[in-house]
Amino acid sequence: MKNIAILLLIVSLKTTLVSATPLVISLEDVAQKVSEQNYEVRENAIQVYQAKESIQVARGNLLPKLNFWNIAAISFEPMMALGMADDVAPFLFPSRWIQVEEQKVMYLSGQESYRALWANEVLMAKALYLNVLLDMAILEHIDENKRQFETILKIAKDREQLGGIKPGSAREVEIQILALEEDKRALSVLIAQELNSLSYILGLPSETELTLAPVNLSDFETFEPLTYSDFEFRTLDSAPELRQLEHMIVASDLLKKEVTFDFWGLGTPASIRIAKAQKEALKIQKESTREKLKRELKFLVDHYNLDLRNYANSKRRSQLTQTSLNQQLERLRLGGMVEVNDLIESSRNHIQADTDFFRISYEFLRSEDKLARLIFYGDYDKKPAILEHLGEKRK
Amino acid sequence: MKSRILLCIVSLFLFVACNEEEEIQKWIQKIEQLKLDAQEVRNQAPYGQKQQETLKAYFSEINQMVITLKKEDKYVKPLNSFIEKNELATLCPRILILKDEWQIMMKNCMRNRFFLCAEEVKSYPEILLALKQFLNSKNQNQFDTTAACKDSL
Repeated sequence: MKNIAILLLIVSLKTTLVSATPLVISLEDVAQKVSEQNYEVRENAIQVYQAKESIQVARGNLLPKLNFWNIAAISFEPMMALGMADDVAPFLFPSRWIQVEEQKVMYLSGQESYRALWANEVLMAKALYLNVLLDMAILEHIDENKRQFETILKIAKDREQLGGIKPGSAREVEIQILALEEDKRALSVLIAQELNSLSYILGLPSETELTLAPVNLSDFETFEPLTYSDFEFRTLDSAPELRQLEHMIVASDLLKKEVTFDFWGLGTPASIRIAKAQKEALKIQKESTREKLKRELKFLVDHYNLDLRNYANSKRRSQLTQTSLNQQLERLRLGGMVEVNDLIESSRNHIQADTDFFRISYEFLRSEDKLARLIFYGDYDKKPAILEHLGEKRK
Repeated sequence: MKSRILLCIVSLFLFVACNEEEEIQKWIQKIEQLKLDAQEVRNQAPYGQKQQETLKAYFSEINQMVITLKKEDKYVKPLNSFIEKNELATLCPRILILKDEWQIMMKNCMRNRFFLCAEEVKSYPEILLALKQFLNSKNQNQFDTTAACKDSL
């Protein structure tokens, strides 16, 4: 009896462990989850960067090969596959500063390192979140496209039997449908992989079944184009990459003093020259980081404005192609003369227009988030938990 | 001899206290000037580098004062004495920006969904609340009843 009870307990525990735990998260939760994790920054950073690399490769390999791309004659946009964030600017990876030291300047420099690393992690997690939503939208679109082709197939078969269209037309449509089914399967696997990576980055157990809340693709038409000069001040003012270097320049002055007035009374000229050279090197690095940030800002502002301009156009295109397709389908239902090839062409145009529209919408959100990261606004305004942890250690 | 030593100690004490009062006086003068500069650029939207730096200078100076009061409590008592001598009704208009003015600045700092000014600009209400915590109960009461002070929160 006792053995049966133990066996039942083991089975129920195993079931609990193996069964998926559903969890709904929103884009707003992502930053909070990354902030709340109590982790050794370096280890987690490696995990995050590895996850990013593997997903970039997976999307880069899969997306251009989808039949959907050829059917809809969509030109492959590198941004779709490689929409993961790279680091905004170089920063000193906090491997040596992970042990908080008593020197205040080094501590402050370390704080900025962690801040940069944390912000990049949040940026990547959010980019992955948006990638998943975009891929889900593409999957939905493939599904919709497949249903449309199934409608066209039925009509084409009927028309072929009656001799209303050239023989073989129905077969052409069926080939398209089969190709789309393959795409659905491939994309479903990619989405599962991306969700897995996302839950890994967020520190969730592997059994978690993540459901992503949709984002508000609100009407961006009312937004003004941005100008570079609006953002330059805050970008440079809040950059942890620059602040870190500023602290280290101060530290190098302290080091120089220490070398100059060392235990024996006088530092060696060589040591003083080395300390001075280190300071010069840091100054050069600071200047180069400033330039890198300014270039990154220019790129992001240009991209943001491009997406903003294209948004209105692509929305209109999507509406017009929808109208055109609906009219043809309606004519067909009412028994009117419609060429199957024209129907396929209309369907393709609509797929392309719709895909472009939501691609631009998601890219706009990504550009907006990258700008927010650059100026440390919104989600990036939050203080990473790791800094509080450092503060505790210092006490 | 003993009285001379005592006199020296008292003088030293007074000198140190005077030193802190002098520093507070300098703070106030500096903040007053920075406030005038900030008010001058308030409506010069869209803010460029110059306007941004001017705004940051004022708000971060107040922030810095609060940080100093927090780290070195030797300034708290002299600050309260200074306030009592100089009256909040005259001090507040000299150094504090009213909430209405701050809201104009905040509006000019926004572009689409982005806040483009220094973080200290956004944190002004929190900074003021933190500053108020260092006032003694008498000065706090006066702060709450003086329009030029309470209208900045």
